[in-house]
Amino acid sequence: MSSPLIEVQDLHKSFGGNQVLNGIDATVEKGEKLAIIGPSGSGKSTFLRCINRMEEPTSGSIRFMGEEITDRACDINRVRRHIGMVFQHFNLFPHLTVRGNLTLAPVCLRIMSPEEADLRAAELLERVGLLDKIDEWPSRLSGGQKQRVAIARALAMDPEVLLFDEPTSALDPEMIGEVLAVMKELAEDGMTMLLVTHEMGFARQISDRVLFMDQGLIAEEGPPEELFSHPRLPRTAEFLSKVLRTEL
Amino acid sequence: MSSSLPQGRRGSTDRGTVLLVVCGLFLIALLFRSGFFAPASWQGFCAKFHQNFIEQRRYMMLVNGLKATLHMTFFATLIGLAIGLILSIIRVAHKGGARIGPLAAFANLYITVLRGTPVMVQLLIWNFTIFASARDLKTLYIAVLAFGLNSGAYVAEIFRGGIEAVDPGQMEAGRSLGLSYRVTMSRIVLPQAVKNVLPMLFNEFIALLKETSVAGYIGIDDLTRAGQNIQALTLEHSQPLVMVALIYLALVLVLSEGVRRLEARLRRSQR
Amino acid sequence: MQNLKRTFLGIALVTALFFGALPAGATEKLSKVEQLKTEKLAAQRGTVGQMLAEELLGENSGLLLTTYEKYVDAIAALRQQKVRAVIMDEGPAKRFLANVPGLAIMPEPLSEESYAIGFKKGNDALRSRVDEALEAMKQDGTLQAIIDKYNDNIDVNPEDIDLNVGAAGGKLVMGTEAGFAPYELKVGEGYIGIDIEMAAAIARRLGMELQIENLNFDALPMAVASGKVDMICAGISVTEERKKNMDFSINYVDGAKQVAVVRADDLSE
Repeated sequence: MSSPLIEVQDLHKSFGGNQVLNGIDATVEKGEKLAIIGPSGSGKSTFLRCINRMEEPTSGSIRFMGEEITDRACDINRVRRHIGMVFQHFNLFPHLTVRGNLTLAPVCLRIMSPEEADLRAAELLERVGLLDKIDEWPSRLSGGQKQRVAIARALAMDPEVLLFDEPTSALDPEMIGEVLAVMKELAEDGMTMLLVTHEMGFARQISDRVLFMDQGLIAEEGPPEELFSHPRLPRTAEFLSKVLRTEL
Repeated sequence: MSSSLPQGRRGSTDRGTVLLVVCGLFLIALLFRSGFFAPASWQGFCAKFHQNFIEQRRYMMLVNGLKATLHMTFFATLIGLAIGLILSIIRVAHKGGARIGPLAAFANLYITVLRGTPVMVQLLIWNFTIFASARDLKTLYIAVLAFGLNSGAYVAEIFRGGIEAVDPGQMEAGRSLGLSYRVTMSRIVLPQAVKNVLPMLFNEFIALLKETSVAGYIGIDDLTRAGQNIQALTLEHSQPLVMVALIYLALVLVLSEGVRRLEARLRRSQR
Repeated sequence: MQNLKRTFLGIALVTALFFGALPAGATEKLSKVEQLKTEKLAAQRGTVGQMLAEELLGENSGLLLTTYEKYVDAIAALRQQKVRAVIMDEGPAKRFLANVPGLAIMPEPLSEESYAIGFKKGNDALRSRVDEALEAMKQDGTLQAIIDKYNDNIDVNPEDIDLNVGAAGGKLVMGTEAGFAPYELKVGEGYIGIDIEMAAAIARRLGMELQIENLNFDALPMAVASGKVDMICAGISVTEERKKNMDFSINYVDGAKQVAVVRADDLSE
């Protein structure tokens, strides 16, 4: 019981000669909501994408529920079932209806029968407020609706943790609210969440802990109140003053 | 959507009409020039027509030739699709980091060689070199194989383009749900890729239909050859050839119209 | 506007095709083969006609000689005044004269040839058996009967020719180019002609089934060399050049003339 849900040690990642992550250490406890902020190019998304090995780490260790997932023997497909991911650009499957988007993976992986998956899809869509769109094609949904479907799709696998990779960056401002509302609800239900975001207000509101990344390292971390109000490092303060100013 | 429809319709009809008129003029001019109407009188034309196509049921030669042409096109299409699909997946998977170096090298070589040499030369090599001693093998099968393998190289490139045109985010989304590369490819990426390239595939097969006209060289009485056989019988130069051309044209027009409708439907369902 | 432009372009193209390439008028009428030395000629690809035309034209043959896949194409070129003469075998030439108006044969032949069956170089086993059969057919008049049957007549039903289907001795595959009446012609789904009937008679004598492969004439040497066909019966003339790449049976036709087919109005009286 004592081991954390996710434990990252000395994670390095480089693309060619370009060092993006320079030794990340982090732990995520079950039920924890972690916000990752930082200037662009600081490696936030790469860090997040290493956790389900969307990016192959160059070196270091990532343990998920006690299992070393950077190990070659590890069946990453099995691990990924438990790590949901929500993308900046939604990445819904355009050739499937909303229902198809939600049921494809559970049925393909024989986790549920088609009937069970259908019921579960309806349940999840109701939760994100889109039950009436169940037979709609993704192309006919608004951006906010798409992202809510994408969240429901990730939830359909009953994951232990959800990774959000800038989930509202590609949305028109008037649609951001509906997505954040769904995420907030999830947070309140106790879902473990890792969130890469530029929405400082939201990060402050829902997260238990904030990581500030800069130049491939976690420069500073702490509870949101503390980090946002009294950053220890000058660069954190500088970053915050920049983004908070533009937010106004 | 309904407001944009009439606009598009009208635009395409205009272009269609112009194209049709130009094609029609061209065809009539061609018919005159080629001597399809060479016997100056209508009776003369009819007599020639009767001699070329009706007498001794010579139209059956064309019908049988058409059968051979369609037969070759159809089965070569199937072979081409299968091979093209496999080759394209090999190339894409290799690019995506799968450890299949030798296979990918083979696929590259295959595509390079078969696209880099004329199909006629390939046909001759298959028939007179590779299958030289396989005399009980029907020549038609050899032609189907030659055209199918050739088409496979082109289809592979079409599929590859289609797969690469699918947003990489689709693969990521599938993989993030725990689906394997294979399942993601077959259930998520390929359906989208195929949909994208369907019109191009159809055009490839229309091209293939016309390419089979060299099959006469290895002794297959396809549509083109049937026309030549009638020429040799009646010693009439123009009518059989023009008739063959008209049959090809009709086939291609019908198929092209099919592609056009397919494209329209795909565009509608994408909205 | 764009459409209008396209339409005009189309019409211009059509007009160009319509009036372009109009033939120029000829000068002096033909009386001797000698005159053809500087004229545009046509022949079927791979035939003795091509060879003779090349000899006649000498170094100009690259410029003046056009070879066609089929006789019909060569004759069409002649009628459209693209060439002044077609060099070809007398047999098919006569058939063209009888069926196509406005043609004539120059009285002076270019050469006389013998026809024989062609084999893969070194295939003596088959060649000697065929020679034997052919010799026997010459002796008992079978061969002459076949040749006489096709004298000014190609009205033969291919189904009446017994190809000895299902014979115990296996298949005898002949390659031919079935656009060379009266020697070989495709009729419906079958074949008729002197070569066809002769080969069928040979096959029957050898206890074999005759199978006919209808290829292009210039593909025939390749077909027999590769073993795709056992022999070529296509009214091929025996020449020294061909003997280098092919073995021949005994002759079955002698005195087959190579002639120049010209337009009737181009031939002086």
